Amino acid sequence: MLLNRAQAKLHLGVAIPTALLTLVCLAFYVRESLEAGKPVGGGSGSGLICGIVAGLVIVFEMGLWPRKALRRLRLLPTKYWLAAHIWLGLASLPLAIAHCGFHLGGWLPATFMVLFVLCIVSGVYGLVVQNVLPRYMLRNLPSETIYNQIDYVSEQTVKDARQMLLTACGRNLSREQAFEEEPELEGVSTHTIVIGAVRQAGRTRGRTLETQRVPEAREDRETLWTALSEIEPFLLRGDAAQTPVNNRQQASQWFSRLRSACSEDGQSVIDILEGMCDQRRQFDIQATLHRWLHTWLAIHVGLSVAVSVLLAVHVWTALKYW
Amino acid sequence: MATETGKERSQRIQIDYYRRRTDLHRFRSLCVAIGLFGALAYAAYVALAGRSHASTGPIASVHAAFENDCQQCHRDLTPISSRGSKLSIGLLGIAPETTVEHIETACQACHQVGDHHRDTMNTEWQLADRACADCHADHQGRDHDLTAISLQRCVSCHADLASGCVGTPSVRNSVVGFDKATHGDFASLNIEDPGRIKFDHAQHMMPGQVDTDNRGGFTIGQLPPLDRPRYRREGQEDDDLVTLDCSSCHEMSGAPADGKTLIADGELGRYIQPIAFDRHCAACHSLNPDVATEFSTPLPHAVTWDQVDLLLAANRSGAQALGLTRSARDDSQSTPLPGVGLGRKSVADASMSQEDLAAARQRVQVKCLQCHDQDSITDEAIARSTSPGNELIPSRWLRHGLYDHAAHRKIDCRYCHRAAYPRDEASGAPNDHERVMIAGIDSCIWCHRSEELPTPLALTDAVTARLIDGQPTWASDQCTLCHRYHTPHGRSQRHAEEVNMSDLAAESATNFASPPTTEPSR
Repeated sequence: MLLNRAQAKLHLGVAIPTALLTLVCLAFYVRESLEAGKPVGGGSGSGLICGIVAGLVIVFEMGLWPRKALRRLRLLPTKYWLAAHIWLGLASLPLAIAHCGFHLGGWLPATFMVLFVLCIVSGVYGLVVQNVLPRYMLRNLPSETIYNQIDYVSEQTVKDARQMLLTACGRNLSREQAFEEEPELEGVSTHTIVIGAVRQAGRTRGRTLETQRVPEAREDRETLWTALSEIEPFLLRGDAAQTPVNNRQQASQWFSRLRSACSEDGQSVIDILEGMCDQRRQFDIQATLHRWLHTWLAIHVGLSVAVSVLLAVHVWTALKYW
Repeated sequence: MATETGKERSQRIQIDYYRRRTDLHRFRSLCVAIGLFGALAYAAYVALAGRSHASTGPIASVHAAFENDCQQCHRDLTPISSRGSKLSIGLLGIAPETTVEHIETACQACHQVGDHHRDTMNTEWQLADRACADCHADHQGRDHDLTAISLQRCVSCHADLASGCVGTPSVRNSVVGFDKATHGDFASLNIEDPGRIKFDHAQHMMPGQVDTDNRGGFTIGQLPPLDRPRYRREGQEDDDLVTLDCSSCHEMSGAPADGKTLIADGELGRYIQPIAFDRHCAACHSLNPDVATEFSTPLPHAVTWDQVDLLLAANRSGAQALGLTRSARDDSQSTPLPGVGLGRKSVADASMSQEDLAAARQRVQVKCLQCHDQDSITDEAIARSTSPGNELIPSRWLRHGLYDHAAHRKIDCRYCHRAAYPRDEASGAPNDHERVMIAGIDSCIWCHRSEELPTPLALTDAVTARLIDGQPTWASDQCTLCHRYHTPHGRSQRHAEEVNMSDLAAESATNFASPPTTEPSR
């Protein structure tokens, strides 16, 4: 969820009441601790209030899960729910610390507290990366696609490249047999291919599909087909493959040499091949950033589940061994 | 020339892409499974085998024997924790009275201690007085000292005693720290020494108990043979002067005779034994009126005059009967004297005449009046002074606080009892026996102060440093170092002040509060 000026009204509407609630609870706690001459624990009146509020917050936080699963019910707009999830979750940490009287206690309370803190930390991490990385990706990865379609789109790109070379240069004579295994390319005689094109929304530019006309480059047939065979592993698997175009700088030098080895007609084909490599490079970056952007959620959810179970156990043991 | 259709373009993204599971989906499922089953497995372990895991922390070593037997102290839905006595939750059936009753029952099953002036408290404070866990919170770690009560804990009530007392507090209404402003000087020192014993400390600490350059000092040889080793210092002969110091008369209560073994001296040395005539005075101040023979029965101290008369007469008659002394009217001589001859031997009357007896008693009284005034040596006064609580020398000067002499044994006596040392004629101070020679709170607060306060300059000068034996100069200012919360079981503190001091010490030892010791030096 974004934290910016446009969302200020939404966030302040939740954050201020949450902060007030927390401050009131903590004020009671500080007052009782001063009265007792030491930080009181969960067995005190104010400590118990802090604990109950923190516990209810945990229950509410877990409510986001069914809210998402039952989104068709349109319970409450998700943005309100998520804003409350963020601010109440943050407020629950000081309340929980006050509740435990600033000491971890035995194994169960300590485990509970450690997991709870990790859960909060993972949530804060998620909030930060969600505010930073998407902006970065939008500005720096114009070829961004759907994460789980990266491999599929890469295969499409390789097919596009082959089709482009077939159109521009004709068959690769050294790989006659290979073409026989690709009947879909056999009869292609179109002089247009589909490649990425720049799209613009405000100051942000992205790429979309565009049909381009491919010039004839038959005299560079062997060179271009050889070049494609060298970069094809990279186009398919990205950094996982060892090719001369993995690194942007090396790729630039490699394509310069390729350009010098080809005629004038082949230059536009090379431009498209270089663009394809750049797109694949962006896919790799996108995949990495995507994992940064979403792995925390898996950890956060796992920790949340554990915290919810331990909360129930804690309530039971606290009432039994008060 | 064929161009790609819109449909073909859309096929560049799989139509069911959103249903396809990625590695991230699988990782999330794994995390949820680990979180859920891990937590459930741990919960099952806690419920079935690991109840100690539910503990909020290790319990103190003194309770460790029943660490895994939670029901020894805990009861379902009944708070026992610190501050639990303040909770009132009708929904769960939790009420302060029920909670306090449970706490009291659980703790007093083993620790039957007295209350804290409960009869002077209002209902709210009485409830708090019964809530043991308010001060003695367990589950704070194995090494946690359950009796270490912070100053703030005491101040929470003593900042304004009137708010919790049914009447006017008999002690200072507000005590919020340990210095003259926040605590006040020791109340016991505001009462003057009744001065019923005439005694000059400085005189007694002079060699031979005479002023410098004066002759006639008391020598070791003048002491009864049995007492000489006790007063003889290393290298002294019988002709040397008796030289006393504080420990000659002021002995730690229960301290071993050799003064070296300090086993449990926290208790043994807490008090100074009361001065006893027979032990501390009789060696020099024999009550027998005449020159006593080695067969004379020493006159006892603090008995009625009839008993004194009886012993005087018995001594006289016994000595005469054995031929060790002669009657007053027997002027017989073994060798004839010119004009007198052998004299007249009186053999018939071995008894003592009333006149002789009166004269002997008079001589005893003269000795008594060396230390006592006339009113103190009547039979009634003697009987009164020997009853508990009416001793002529108070057995305990600081009646509200404890002072552990053993804990302070490295400090020179004159640090607190400077007035007992060399005479200061210029000061115009009252006579020795009319002064309480205990320094006030000022002598304590230099060391016993808040951790945040720096070392006072007064402690750094050479003289003071020598008096405190160069010790580190910080000690705790906790109230419990000097004061005890629990009165002896079943008695109020006021009563406790009247009981014999040794009884108090014994009861204090049975109290679960351990003896106070000075904090680790720093």
